[in-house]
Amino acid sequence: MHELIIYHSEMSRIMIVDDEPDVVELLKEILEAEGYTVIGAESGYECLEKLEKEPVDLILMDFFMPGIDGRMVIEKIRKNPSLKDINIVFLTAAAFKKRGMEILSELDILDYITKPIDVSDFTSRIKKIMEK
Amino acid sequence: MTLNSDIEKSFIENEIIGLIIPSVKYEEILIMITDILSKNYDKILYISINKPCESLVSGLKKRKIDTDRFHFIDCITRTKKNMLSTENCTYISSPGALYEIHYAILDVLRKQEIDAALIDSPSSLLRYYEHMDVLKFMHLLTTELIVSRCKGIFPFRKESARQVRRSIEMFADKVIDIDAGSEFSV
Repeated sequence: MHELIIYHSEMSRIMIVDDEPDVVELLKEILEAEGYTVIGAESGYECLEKLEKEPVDLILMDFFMPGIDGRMVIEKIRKNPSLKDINIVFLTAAAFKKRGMEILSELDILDYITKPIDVSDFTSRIKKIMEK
Repeated sequence: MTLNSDIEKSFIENEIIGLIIPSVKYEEILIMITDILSKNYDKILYISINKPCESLVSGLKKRKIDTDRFHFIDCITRTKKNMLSTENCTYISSPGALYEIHYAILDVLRKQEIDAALIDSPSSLLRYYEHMDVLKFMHLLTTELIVSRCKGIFPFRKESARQVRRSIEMFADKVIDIDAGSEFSV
């Protein structure tokens, strides 16, 4: 029996930003199994620091984080000329309302995924985003 | 359009509404909001973090606002004197008792048909809790209000709690930023 190895392009790098280490680990496992290179960050500050050194194609960003919340991190990313075009998806425990959706559009957020995640829906949405 | 009618229209069209109010006009505008609520809804839940129910009721009555339409959750009176909850007011042991506040809100939402809930003010909770705890509580509250088909009104003082305000904005339908020069009637 041959092992199926999925090779994504060199650019398939995803960063997961969540203050709950278990969430980072779980999503990392799921995405690595799909063949992506995954970088974890447990705070907004760590995300910004790592982005300076390791460029990524997609960021999965938790909304509620102590210190600097997801919205603020994204605003900083969008203001940085070398990072501003990174695709970003929000991770949230609940659906956003009307004003929230307007803000997502203002911040050029591709999508949002509600937690707890449905693994097959999650991987198929990430795949679609990465294929764009 | 006056501020009164603008706010009234927003209450009709939206479920979760944030209001950013200049501190100097906070109390006056809050009275105007309670007046609008009393004229448009049968039952209103007023969650007061730092104002005693007794003085709230007397202030509202002076303005001829029908206080019978309100159920109060008073988080401050019992820090000074022991009070038993009444039909129209639930007393909480302290503003720092977030679980107790949460349980009281759920209890009122479950037992009464509340049309609108006003929390005065989410930023007051920052004196007792970390930003993240307040945010998670507010987020949970908005979800419960939506499930109960109850409008949620969250007034903030413009000069305070900017980060909490910005975060709650994500879970609101509309945020009204009131200018200090806005004309309104109480």
